[in-house]
Amino acid sequence: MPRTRPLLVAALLLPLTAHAQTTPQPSIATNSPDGKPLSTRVVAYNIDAKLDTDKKTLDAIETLTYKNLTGHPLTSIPFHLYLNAFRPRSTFTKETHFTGGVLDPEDDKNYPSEKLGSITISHIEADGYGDLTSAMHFIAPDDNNAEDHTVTEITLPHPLAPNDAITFRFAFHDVFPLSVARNGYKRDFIMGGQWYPKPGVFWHGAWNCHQYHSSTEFFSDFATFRVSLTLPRRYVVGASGVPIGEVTNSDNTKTLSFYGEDIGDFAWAASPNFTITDGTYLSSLGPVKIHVLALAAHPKAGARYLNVMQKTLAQYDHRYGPYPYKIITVIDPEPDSEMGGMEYPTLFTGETSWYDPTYLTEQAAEHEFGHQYWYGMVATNEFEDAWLDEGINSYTEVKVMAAIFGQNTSVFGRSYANIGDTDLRRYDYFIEPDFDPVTRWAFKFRNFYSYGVITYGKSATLLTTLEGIIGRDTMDEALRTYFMRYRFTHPTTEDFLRTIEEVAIADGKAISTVPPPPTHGQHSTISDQSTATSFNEADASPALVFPSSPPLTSTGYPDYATTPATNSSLRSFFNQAVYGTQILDYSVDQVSSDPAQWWLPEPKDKKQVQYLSSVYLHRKGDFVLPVTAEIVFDDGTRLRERWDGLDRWTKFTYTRNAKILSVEIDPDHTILLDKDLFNNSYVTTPNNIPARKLSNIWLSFQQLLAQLSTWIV
Amino acid sequence: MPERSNIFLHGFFLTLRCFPALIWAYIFNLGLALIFSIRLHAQFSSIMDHSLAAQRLTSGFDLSTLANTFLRLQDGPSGGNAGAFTSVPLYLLVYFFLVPGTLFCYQTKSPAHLSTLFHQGLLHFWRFFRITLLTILVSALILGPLVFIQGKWADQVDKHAVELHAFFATLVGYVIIFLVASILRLYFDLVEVYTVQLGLHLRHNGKPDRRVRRALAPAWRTLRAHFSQAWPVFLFLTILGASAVVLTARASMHMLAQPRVWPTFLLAQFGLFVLLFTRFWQRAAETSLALQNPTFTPSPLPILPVVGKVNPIDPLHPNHPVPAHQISLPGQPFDPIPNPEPASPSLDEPDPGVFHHNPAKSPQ
Ligand SMILES: [Zn+2]
Repeated sequence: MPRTRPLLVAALLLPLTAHAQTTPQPSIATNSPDGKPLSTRVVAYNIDAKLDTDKKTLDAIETLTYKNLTGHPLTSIPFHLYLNAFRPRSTFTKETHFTGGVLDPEDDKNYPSEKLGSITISHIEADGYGDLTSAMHFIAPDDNNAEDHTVTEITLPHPLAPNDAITFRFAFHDVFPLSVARNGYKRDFIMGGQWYPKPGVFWHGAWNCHQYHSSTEFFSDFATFRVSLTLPRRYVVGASGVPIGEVTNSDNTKTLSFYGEDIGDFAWAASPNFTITDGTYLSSLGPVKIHVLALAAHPKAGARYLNVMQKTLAQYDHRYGPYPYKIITVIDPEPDSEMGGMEYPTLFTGETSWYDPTYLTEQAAEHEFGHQYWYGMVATNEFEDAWLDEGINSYTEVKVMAAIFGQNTSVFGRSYANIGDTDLRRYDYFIEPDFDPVTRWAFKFRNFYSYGVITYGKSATLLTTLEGIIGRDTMDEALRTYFMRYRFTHPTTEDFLRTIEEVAIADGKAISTVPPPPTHGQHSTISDQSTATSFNEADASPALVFPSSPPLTSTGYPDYATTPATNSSLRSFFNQAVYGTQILDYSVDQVSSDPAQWWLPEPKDKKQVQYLSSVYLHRKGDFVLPVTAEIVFDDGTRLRERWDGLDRWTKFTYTRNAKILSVEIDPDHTILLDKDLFNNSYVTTPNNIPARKLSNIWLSFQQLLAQLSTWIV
Repeated sequence: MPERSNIFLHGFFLTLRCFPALIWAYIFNLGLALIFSIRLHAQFSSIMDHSLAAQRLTSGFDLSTLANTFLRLQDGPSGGNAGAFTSVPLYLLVYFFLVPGTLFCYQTKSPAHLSTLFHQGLLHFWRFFRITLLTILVSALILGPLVFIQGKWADQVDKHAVELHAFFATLVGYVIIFLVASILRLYFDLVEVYTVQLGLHLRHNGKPDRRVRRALAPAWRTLRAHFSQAWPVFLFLTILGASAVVLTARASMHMLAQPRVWPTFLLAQFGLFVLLFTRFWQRAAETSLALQNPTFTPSPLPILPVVGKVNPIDPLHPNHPVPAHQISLPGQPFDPIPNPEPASPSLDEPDPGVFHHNPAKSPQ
């Protein structure tokens, strides 16, 4: 779908938000100041569901009120039916089979019956529209796959006028699969994720309702949810929102009710094996309950999750902005399921095992919590801009993990070996660095692997490099400004980049390349609706007015990669790192120090010798970035040289009474996008301990393997 | 031969007596690995010796630096470390020749010179080849179904138990497979021992007995009769060797961050040597058992009636001269069998059993 800017949407949202302001109610599920809604609540859900834990099925009545804030009369509304992806002929399964996905590729000829999942709508009606069951038909906007049933469209007999609302009543039946991706069951654990009909988002002048792809996540409007779930009494349930009621029924079941607001999705998890570990974090907006449901098989998980959540909440509150919800529920999913490490509003699933000597348990929890900001509140389109949720979140993940567990020890930190999350994400990137830009739509990547390493690994690495360019404080401020400005909206890549440019220019870390704006207050993003959604803290000053989107290429995509730097001096970096696939690799090519008067005999006092030293730097990649090189002489002198990197190589020469000891490009180690960090430096005195260490390990390993192989004789 | 000696201790002394065999195996194990590590080491050196980024591996062990090194290796023009595992099959081949020689030395008390070992290796090549094939076949037939059942068992466990409970439940299955595999290995070790023993025996046609088939039954009888003695010894030595490797590997791992390599090297080599030692000890203990339960009654070993300078370790060429300097070296350990010290036999004449092998006749 073309990316057009939502000029009209903001203005049209105003009536709703004004209405919300006039009837303030104390907030049930958030710590919103004055109880005001935090978001533009487009949808109101009311779902009564009964779960059959033996058959792993669910029957529900869903009442859904959709407010038409699009500014257009609507003649149809598309709905996501994600559970229908788990069929052999769905687009999800097809893509998984051919290009990889979150699950093991299943053989098309032999799709296991227990992995079949479905959602069937048996009846739909709408107030004032009558029975709409026959007005429903499957559509496949992305690939025209007639066998894909993950999107259904309901054609309205008469249009829904702007600012009117329509109330649907669905009767639907879920069959949960043995977990394939993100939901389903494993043993007696059941994860209700993407389990109910959910409308698409009317965004940038059109419906945005993609099919479920092997590499895509989700996109939805903000809403309120009132959900009741009936299931056997022995089950413990964690769900989005806050619990608001529990009724014990006569048939050995119970009915649990939950309420969530200003969230875009609702998920729940049920297991008879949960143990509960609760804690509280006092955020800048009020207390947040940390509700951990860990499996009895993971006796240490409850305390570990609680501990890392306390620290993570503090980091996020301090760095990026307040967490406004009253609760965060941590679900410890069943082992060996495909449901670990998944984010839902105010709830996420972690990932751990009975023995985890690393901080990967903590990393999973930190990452999924981060999505409360980058996906949950800053609700970007995960189908199209995956890097804005997974990428920004991977960047904040490495930052927060480093702050809690140490820069080089945040994944594994023992005295004998260590690895940091920043380096781990960077390593991922360089496994397959140059097929796709981070901005590619999630389901258009070369394959699932490239999607993963680029969206998570490259995004984290490029934003860390950007932090090196504009400075840590400016980067934190930019992220905070972005969060505060775009929370509870659906921003785009340009919204994010321009916020960074604006903050960097204001901090003097980048140079504006456009004339200053004549007037204020013209920035044209959806966040203009923020009259109702802003907190007491003042948002950042109004954005600078930047030129409109760059020209389009012949294929209709914005031509960011070849456009000359616009907006700011950071554009060259953005064009290459964000919109491009250029590889960055600088190296110290050659270092030498020879007597300047080489024909003279060597004097006794070496300090009298004048040396002619030369340093050659080489740009090996196609990514151009100005770099600094530090030259250290054996008299203790340290010099720093700056090179714009435009040419393929450069040379520095020195005539001094000292020889060069070492040369290092990027001596502050901020340019993590550099593909090969080994060739960034040259030390004249070799040190062969590292090589010998690795060779020794390899040697012993070979010997062991050789000895083991002889057991067949 | 002591009537009923402790095979564990006797095996230990046998191993020490044929210590050179073990040393040779170790030298090949280390030497081949060294040779095939040279290129990789050169690549490591060229990447890291002059790099400040590599310093994270000097006084620490940063796993990302390690990972980046391997990423760099893949990028190299030489196409990474292809052929880096070549030392494994080569060592297997060398070991294939060393085993018969070692068993021969255990049984005949001949000194374990490299030439002796390899000569015997050549003589026994087809016999051991057949045994190895048989071992693989029988193991596949017995362990295959067990692995299959283990898979089913693991599935069953997975339905009802998770994590630690599931781990122990599936571990039980693996332990059973390991125990069965150890019995198989012990049996075929005995087959190898008896095969060598049979080979010391001349048949009516005057040729040594090369029938592997004839070693199967004695090995089985001995295993059955002395199972309670042999299996625990075998298991204990297996676990001893494995523990040595695990412990030294663990200790080496904890030394990774040190800016010195030689302590780690020595420790790892110690563990690998113990692993090898326990394997040779196992074979010696099995030999001890076989010597106490010979396939034939008091033996017409061709080495016993010594006339002149007969080469005792090369009964096929009894007239092969023994070089004089080998006979009366001072300081040689006392050998209870009053034979002249055997020579290092040369392979000047091809062994008919090896080079004129007729598959139609064999393995009769
Ligand atoms: Zn994520």
